[in-house]
Amino acid sequence: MTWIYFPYIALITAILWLVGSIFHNFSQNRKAMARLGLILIFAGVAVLAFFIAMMWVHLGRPPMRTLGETRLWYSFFLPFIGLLTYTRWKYKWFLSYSLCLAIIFLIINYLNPETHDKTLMPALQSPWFVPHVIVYIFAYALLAASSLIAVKGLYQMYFSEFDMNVIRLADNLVYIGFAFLTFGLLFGALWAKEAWGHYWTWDPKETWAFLTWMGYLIFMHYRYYHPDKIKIPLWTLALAFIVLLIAWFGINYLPSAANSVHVYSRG
Amino acid sequence: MHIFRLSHIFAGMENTIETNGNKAIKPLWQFPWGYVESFFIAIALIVLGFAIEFATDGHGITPLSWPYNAYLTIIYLNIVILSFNYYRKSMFIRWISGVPASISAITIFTFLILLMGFIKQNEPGSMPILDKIGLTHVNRSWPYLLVQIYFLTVLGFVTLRRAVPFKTKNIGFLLNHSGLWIMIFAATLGSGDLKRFNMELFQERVTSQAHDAHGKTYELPIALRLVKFDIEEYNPKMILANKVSGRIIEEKNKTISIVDKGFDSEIGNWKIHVIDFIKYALNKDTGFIASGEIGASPAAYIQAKNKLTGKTAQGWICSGSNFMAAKYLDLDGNLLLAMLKPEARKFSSKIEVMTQSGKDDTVLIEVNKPVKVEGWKIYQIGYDEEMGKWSESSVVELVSDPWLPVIYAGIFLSLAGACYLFWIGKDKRPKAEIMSDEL
Ligand code: HEM
Repeated sequence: MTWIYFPYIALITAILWLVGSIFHNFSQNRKAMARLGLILIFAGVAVLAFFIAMMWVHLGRPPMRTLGETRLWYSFFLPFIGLLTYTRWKYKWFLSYSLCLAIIFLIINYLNPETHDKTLMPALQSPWFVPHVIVYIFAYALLAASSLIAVKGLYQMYFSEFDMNVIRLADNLVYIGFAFLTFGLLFGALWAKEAWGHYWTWDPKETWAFLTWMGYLIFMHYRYYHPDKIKIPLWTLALAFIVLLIAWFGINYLPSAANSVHVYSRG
Repeated sequence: MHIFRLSHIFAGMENTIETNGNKAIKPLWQFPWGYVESFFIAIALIVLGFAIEFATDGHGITPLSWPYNAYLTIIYLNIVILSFNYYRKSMFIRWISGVPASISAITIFTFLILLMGFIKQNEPGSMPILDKIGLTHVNRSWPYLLVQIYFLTVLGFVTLRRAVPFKTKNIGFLLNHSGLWIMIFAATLGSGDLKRFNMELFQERVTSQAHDAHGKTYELPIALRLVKFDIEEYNPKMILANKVSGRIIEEKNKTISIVDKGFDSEIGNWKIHVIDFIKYALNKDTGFIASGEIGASPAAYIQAKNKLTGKTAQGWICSGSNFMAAKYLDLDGNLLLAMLKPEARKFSSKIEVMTQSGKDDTVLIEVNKPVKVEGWKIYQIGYDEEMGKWSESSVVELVSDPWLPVIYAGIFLSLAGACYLFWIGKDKRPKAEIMSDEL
C-alpha cells in the first residue's frame, strides 16, 4: 500500500473518529452509546494502523524517514495520549480534542503531498523524533486550552462575575500540560546528546522552550501560594502562551535565531 | 522611594503581613520577608552581576574544572545542609525555602534567559555595551552566575525543607525539585570538565590531534584512523526547470517526484515514465552505464509526454557530481526536466581506535549513533563535501563529559516527577494543611 490510497484511508479514519467522538461526547448516561463511540474511535485507529503496517511492508522498512511518514505516527499516537489522559482525568473533551489534533495532521498530510517524499536529514532520523514531537504537540494543545480558559477568566473578571471553576480547570490543564512539556524538554535533551554531542547548548530554540517552561512554573507556584488570587495568575497564563507561540513559530523570525540548528523550515 | 513603586508593579504582592486574617502593612526588611524583599534581593544580585561584568570588561567567567568544582560542591553542600540542620526554624531559612523567594528566583532567571532569547549569543561586536555587561555571552557571565547561585540555593533549601522528615506523600514534590536541582547543579559545575573536540580523520594517517571550538589544537590520549567512510543516499528527485532562466518551476504539489525504475509520475502537464534508473552511473560514449568509480551519479532514462499537446521527449538525465556535469532533458524547447543531487540518508565511518591503554578496536559510527571508548564519545559529524560519496576523510567529534551520569540521574528523577504530576495533578488539600506539615 502506498500514498496513493492515503486520501481514502484518511477520510475513513477521520469519519470514524468524528462520529465516534460525537457519540462518546454526547452519550450522557447511556453507557452503550459511549462504548460504541470508543469502538468507532478504535476502528479509526485500526484503519490507520493497517495503512502504516502495509506501508511498512511495501517499503521494507519502518515508515519514519520522510516528513509525511512521521506525521502518520503523530496521528496514530495522539488518540492514545488523549485516551490515557481521559481515562485518568475524565474530561470527555480531552479525547475529542486529541482526535481533532490527529485529524489536523491527516489533513496536513493530505494537503501537502510533496512532504510525503521530503526526506529527513540524518540527525532527525532517530527513535526519539516521534515521541519528542508528540509529547510537545499534546503539551502545546493542553496549554493552549489553558490559555483560552485564562482569556475567558479575564473576560469574566473585567466584564461579569468571576467563576472560580474557571481557574481550577486552568490549574488542571496546566499541571497535565506541564508534565508533557517536561517530557518534551527532557526527551529533547536525551536525543540531543546522541545526535549533537551535548544535551543542552542554549540554542535559541532551546532557550525559548525553556522560557515557556519557566512561564508555566511561575504560574503553578504563584497559584499554589495564593489560591485565592486570580488576576496575576490569569495574566501570567496569557503571557506564557505568547512565549510558547514564540518558541513554536516566532523563532524563525528572531534575529537571535539565525543560526539555530533546530530551525528547519527555511531549508 | 523606588522600593514602594516596586510594590505597585507587583500588585497583589504587597508588602503585607497577615495575622488572624487581618492584613497590615509591614515595614520593609522586617521578617517574615515577602515578595518585595525577595525581588529586591534578586534584582540587586543581577545588577551586581552586570556591574562586575562591566568592571571586568565583559570577560565573563571561566568555569571551574576538576578537582576544584568537586571541592566547591562539597563546601557548598556542607554550608546548605548544616545551616538547614541548625537554623531550620530561623526566619531567614524559612524565607529562602519559601514561595516568594522561589518566585523571585524563577522570575529573575527567566528574565535573564529572556534577554538571551532576544540577543544573539556568542557573536560579540555589534553592540559593544552588550558585550561589556555580558549579554552576548549570558551563560558565561557574572549576572548568570549570581542568578544561578541564588536560584540553586533557594531550590536547594526548598527541597530540603520537604525532604526532612521524609514523607511518602511528598514524593512527587521531591522528584521534581531534586531532579531539577541536580540537573542544573551538575550542568553548571560540570561545564568546566566538558571537553568537545573536532578531529578530521584520513585513511592513510593515524590522528590524535584535535581542535576545540576556537580552533586551538590539542593532543588527545586517543588516536583514530579512518578505515572507510560511507554515505547511503536517497534516490534523487526530478523537477521541471525553465530553460532560459534556469529557475526551478515551483508549483504546489506535483513539482517533484522520486526517481526509480518503472516509476510513473506527473510533473506539471507532463506524464513521466522512468524506463531505466542507475543509482551510480558514468556517462560513457555508449550512454550511461553503472559504475563504482569516483564521480558516478544517479542517472535515469526518461520518457515524457505532454498531456495537453501530446508532445513527447525521451532521453537520459543525471544529477551530476563534482566530477561530471549534470544532464537535462529538453522537453519542448522551453522546459527542462532535471534531476536533483541525491540527499544523504545516512553517513557512517568505520574507524580504528587506539588508546593509551593499548586497546586497538574498529568501530562503526553514524549520525545519531555515537560510540563510547574509554570515557570519550565519538560522533560522526561531517565529511569532505566536495568529494561527497568518495570522501577520503571524515570529521568526528570527541566528547568527554564526566558529569553526565549525574545529569542523567537528574533527568530520570524529573521524568518520574513529570509522570507523578500527570497522574496526581494539583494537590487538592488546602494550602494551610500542606504548609503546616513541614514546619
Ligand atoms: C521541575 C520543576 C518544578 C515543578 C514540577 C514544581 C512543582 C511544584 C508543585 C506541584 C508544588 C506544589 C506543592 C506540592 O504539590 O506538594 C510546588 C511547590 C513549591 N515549589 Fe516547585 N516545582 C518546580 C520547580 C521549582 C523551583 C525551581 C523552585 C524554586 C526556585 C520551586 C519552589 C517551590 C516552593 C517553595 C514550593 C512550595 C513548597 C512548600 O510550601 O512546601 N519549585 N512545586
